[in-house]
Amino acid sequence: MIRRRELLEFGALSAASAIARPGFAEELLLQHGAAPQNLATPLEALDRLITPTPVFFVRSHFGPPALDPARRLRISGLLGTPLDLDVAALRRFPEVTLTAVLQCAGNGRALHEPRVPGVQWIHGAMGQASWTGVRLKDVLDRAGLSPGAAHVWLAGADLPPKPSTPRFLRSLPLARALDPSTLIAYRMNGEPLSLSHGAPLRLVVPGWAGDHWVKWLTELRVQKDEPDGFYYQTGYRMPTEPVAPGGSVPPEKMRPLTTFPVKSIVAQPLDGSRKPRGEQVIVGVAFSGEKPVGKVEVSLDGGASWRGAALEGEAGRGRWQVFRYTFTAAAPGPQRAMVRATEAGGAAQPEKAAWNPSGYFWNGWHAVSWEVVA
Amino acid sequence: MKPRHPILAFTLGAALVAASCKDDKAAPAPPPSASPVALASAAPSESASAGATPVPSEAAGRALVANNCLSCHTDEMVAQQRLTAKQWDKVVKKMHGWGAPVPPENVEPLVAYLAATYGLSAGPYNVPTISASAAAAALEPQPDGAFAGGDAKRGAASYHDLCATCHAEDGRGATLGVGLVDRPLLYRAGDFARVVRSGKGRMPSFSEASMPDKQVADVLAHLRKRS
Repeated sequence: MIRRRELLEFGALSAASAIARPGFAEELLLQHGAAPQNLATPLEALDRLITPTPVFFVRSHFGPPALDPARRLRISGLLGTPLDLDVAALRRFPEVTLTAVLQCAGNGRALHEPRVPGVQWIHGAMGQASWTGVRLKDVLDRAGLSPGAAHVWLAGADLPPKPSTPRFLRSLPLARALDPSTLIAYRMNGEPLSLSHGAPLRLVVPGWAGDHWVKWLTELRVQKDEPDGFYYQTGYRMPTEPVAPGGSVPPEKMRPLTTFPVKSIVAQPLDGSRKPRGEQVIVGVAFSGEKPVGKVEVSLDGGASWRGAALEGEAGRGRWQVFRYTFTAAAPGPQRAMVRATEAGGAAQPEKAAWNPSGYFWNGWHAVSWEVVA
Repeated sequence: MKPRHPILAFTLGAALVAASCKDDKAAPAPPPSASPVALASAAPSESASAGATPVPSEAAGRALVANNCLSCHTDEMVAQQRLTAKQWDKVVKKMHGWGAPVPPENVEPLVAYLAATYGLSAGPYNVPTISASAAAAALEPQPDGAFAGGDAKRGAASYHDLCATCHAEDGRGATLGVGLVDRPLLYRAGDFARVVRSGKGRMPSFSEASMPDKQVADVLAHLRKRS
């Protein structure tokens, strides 16, 4: 019984340290770029349902415009009534708050082999926050869609460094724009959006990769066709069929990326860490852009057998849950855990992610090794 | 002049002029040899010097990076890559098309340096950290201090004389200079003045004698008004 009591105490310590983590640099970001800022959330912070805003990753192509709370949003194109709204006018629409994962399409790019150019994100270009704003659908309904409307072009106030550099421009198919979860947001985790997260307005498109979540949003244009330009016609595209690693793909076999695939990431233990013997807690997050997560499994024997992990938080498309798996390591020695998630009635996370020319959507099984010490 | 309609303004294809104001700026340090994050691919190294172009010296290579890459990127963006010579060649040509001011004769030496320094055999890259408060502070407006009270009208004339050749009359950037309108830097007068005084990439430095603080303040007022 003493032994069991010791284990329980260890367990309590481990559980507490998974939340409070003495010594964990809570306020550090990984700096993949100083200017424009490209900052990753540290792996250790991906152990909870809501990612704190100060350590929430930042992706920017050109850097933000000047802070301007009076920046307006213009809605034009195939509409009955074009709109020109400031934040106050926008807030007269019904307010919605939802929780969703924001993940950069290139998260995990550094893990694709062979390597491809771009920000070399590892795991930290993702986070989950609560987002508050108004439904894009409500705004478009007010404007009144005209016949032929099929795509909603999205542009922010961020200017490229030179006129010869393409603007960052995205587009949503009309059906996704009208999905009730697509928001024009002005608050993140209950606070007004910061400049680096898109103040005063950004788009929120739960389940879809971060390139659609346009920051510093100033323009929505309803059109018949997809936009031209590098960032739509070349960037943010995935092969329509599997491609051999390192292979090239003709443009006609690329399509705009949309939802991110099922994925799980281990926050603790950290790879290469040391843990006291006794209770071992494996904790992290699991999500998919397409369906709710159905299960998360852990293997401690290189994939020969898998055990289910406990899931915390609400299940939903584009929403992450925390998983936790606890076991006892009675003796010192090396440990290795692999984790895989499976959608409810859907896809399982693949052992190896599908390589693609721009290094998007890495979602291979995450494996961590650590040393149990006496 | 009104800014162009944003959604219409994503033209490609720059006319690129080879002109060098400076060639001695510091560029990113070579990658550290050890890192807790092992990412390097085991693929065989594709030598950058396989062709006729010799790899420039470290000093010359860093100057090439500073002059041609670092007006738009900070050094981490370059240093974190692990690419073959063929990939670097493609990246440099893409960036050239987007407005990187690489003179034609510098393209091959730049590619050779990048591939030799940040190639597949460069070893793992150790991602640096920044505190969340420092990251947030980097974008926050600062008091104008010595650069308060600028006159936008005088600033327009000074901008025309001193800045417009590279940064364009409308402040949106051109072949050599980056865009200056509607940026957080305009509300961080001290940082803005530091770039003016020290130069950046191909931008020359402007001394107090050639551009007094008062004139810096005027140009700032002008650029804010344009934004």
